[in-house]
Amino acid sequence: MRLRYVLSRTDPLDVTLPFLSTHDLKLAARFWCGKTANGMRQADLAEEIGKVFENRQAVTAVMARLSAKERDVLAVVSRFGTGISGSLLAAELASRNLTAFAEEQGFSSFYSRRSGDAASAMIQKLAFLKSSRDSGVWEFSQRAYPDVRIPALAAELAKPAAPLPWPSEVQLAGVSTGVPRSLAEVAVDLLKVAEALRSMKSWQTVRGGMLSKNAQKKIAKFVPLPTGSNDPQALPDPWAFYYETLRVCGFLNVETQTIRDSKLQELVQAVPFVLSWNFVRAWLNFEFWQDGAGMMGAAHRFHDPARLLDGRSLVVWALGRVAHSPHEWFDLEQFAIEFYRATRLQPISWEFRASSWKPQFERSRDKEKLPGGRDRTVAYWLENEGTWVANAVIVTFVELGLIERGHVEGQPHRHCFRLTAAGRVVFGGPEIDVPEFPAETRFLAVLPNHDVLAYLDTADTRALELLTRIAECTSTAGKVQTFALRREFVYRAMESGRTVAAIRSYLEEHGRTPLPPTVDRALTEWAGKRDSLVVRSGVTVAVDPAGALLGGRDLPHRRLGETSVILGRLTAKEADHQFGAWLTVDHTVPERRTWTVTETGLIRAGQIDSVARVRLSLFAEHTDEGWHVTRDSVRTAFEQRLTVDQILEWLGSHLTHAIPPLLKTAIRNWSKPESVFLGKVHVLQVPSVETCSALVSSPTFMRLTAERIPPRWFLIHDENWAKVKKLLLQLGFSFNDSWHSPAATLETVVSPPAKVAPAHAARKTRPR
Amino acid sequence: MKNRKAAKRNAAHPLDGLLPLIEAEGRELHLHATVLEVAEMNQLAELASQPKIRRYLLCRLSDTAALVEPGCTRELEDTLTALQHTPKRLHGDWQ
Repeated sequence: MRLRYVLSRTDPLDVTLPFLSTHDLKLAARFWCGKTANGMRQADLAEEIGKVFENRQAVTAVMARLSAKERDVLAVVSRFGTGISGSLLAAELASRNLTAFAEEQGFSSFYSRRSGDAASAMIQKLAFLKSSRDSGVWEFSQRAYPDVRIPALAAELAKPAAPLPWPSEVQLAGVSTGVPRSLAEVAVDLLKVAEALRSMKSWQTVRGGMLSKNAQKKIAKFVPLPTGSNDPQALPDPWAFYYETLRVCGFLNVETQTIRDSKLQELVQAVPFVLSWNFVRAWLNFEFWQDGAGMMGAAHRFHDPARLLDGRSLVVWALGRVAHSPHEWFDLEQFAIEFYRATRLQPISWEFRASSWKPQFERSRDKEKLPGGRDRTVAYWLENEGTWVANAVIVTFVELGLIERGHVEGQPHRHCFRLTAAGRVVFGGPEIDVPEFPAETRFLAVLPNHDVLAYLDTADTRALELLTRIAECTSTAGKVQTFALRREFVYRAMESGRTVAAIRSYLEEHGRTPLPPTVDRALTEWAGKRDSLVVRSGVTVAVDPAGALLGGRDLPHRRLGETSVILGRLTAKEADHQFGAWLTVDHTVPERRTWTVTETGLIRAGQIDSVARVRLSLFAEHTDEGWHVTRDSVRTAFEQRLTVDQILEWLGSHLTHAIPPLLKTAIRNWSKPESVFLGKVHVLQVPSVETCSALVSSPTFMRLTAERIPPRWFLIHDENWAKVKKLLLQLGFSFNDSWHSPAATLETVVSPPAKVAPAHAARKTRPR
Repeated sequence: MKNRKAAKRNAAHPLDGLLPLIEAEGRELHLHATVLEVAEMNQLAELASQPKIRRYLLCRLSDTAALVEPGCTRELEDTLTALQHTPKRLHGDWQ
């Protein structure tokens, strides 16, 4: 078995895409269809080219017309399937001496030299189709080549070029190394994050579907993973990294915030190297990730994700060449310099955020002191882009178990690396065979206290999925990780379709020792607890108070009680057909609004179903007049744990009108009485606003009043009444019983002021 | 009201005070309903005595089955899970 080249594209080329202008279509048609395309309209041209792309004979004939050099270029492109980025094409052609471009060329030189370049010629005549990114702009850019696409048949018929080994000049010996991460460790981390998302049910994302910082912290509580606080070479934001892997691989439905279990299971059950291959493919498309720095906020993300993809593709391309190199260990600095040389025609160039790990390359140490020229350029490149390349290799791919890092003995700052067996297969495909995976079936030790030790150094990744579903991982990292069998985990696994028998058989099959009796008993007990409480939704319940139940209808059912049976799901149409005369209550549609209620709480309900009857009986009393909502009935409902909101919601859902505000207030008051003042106060009404102003200005008087009601009333507490009366008598007031209605007075007060007419007009209208 | 309280005290069935039995005037068919089933009557009593769960239970169908408030299936399941219960969730399965 061999894996497909990790950078290959297989998506078919669609010529009807709008990026091809009429001019481009004509050029493409002239190359692919010959003279038959002359005089065709744009739509017909696209259709004609599309037909040729699917015609094996026609494509073979076109390819036969290519020159030897053009065929070599096509062989290089076909190695990448149906498309290749301009950066990759430039690197490949430069490495194979198939390009006419040289390193130190200015813009004018680029433009003029295209005429002698085989690949440029094929792009000009649209033997290679430009991608939408480069349509119409490439000719005027400083990029050697645009991103190009070829038909699937051409990619299939052309013999792909042989892989190139990495041109390393240094053979390293005496390397001190650690132990690389196993694929099982990587798979477990991914599955742990998936399980955490499952248990969270929903998680907060920000623009672009990226995981928010809060959600990362929440996952971190569920999943212990090593962070870079102690080790600068550790993966920063590992939770976000695995979340992005799940998202980009299509295992997450971001909209519904669910995991596509079947898809994830399918991949986890595949050959372990396939999982790693998918990890690399996902990493290529991480929009918000910077190696060595972790997740980038939306504000810091790369403006052109295609450039990010270009850079990552070049790193993977270089590692692919490393996989075909005779050397084992590579000096990191030397690799970075060779990377710069190999990609110099169209190098990666952008500003990166500071990485947590800085390799501190020897050649970039005194870069400021270097004279202008290549050495200085390389030194600065190493400090910026080279650091990113180093982080991708030494941090990200080590985390994925594809690279093993080390350093030259006695020189801890001279970093070096080599590909692991998985790395060779993933980056070196399709020329490198997938070896037999040395997996250990019995990699678990189940302890009586429900702990499970997982030996991940040799574990089969295919057997890990169920472990992360039924047990919580309590280890941060390592070759031996501890899991704890938990009731809620086992429950969730059973809810997703696993049976207790399957879980028991899994632990027995992969356990190094027999299943401890305590664990066996716990599993049986947990399964029994689950079986003893069942929520059946979407079923049909038939209720017959007479106890005749289905009345002889031949339908599969189960008796629940004396008056009810349960059946499978029935549609409204089937129900009408089978049970025409029965009262049908559909629990998915809103209640029928048939009730009316007075503000004193008298409900007239007419014919009601049992749902309405139960609700009414809970908060209303049945009287001769009908159902009555009273203080006592509502208090009884509260005793039955009903809340005010639920009573009001039920009432509102059945009423044909809004709940009378007074009744609503009463129901709320019966729950929590609202306190009001009802007592004896006296009202003082004064005849004029002037008098009122005089009284208001008196502190002596105002001290004796409870409240002033503008414009001419005062409220006086009963105990002050005598004092106020005495004061008013002293002030010369007399008392009468002529009460002026406040409403009438208010009207005069609040009525808009009459328009003031001019003096002469007033005189004219004044009655004589 | 006194009669009601007296009736509650002297209820013939131990669950009547917690979760009344369904009372239908005639024959009824409940479509797309949700039923909570337990193994024993005591379990139903225990669940119905918890206010957080009781609010989602409409009435009793038998000593071990209850009809769930229409539209509250998800809330009931979530509440049961939050209260450390482990309900088996079945959709459309009546057996």
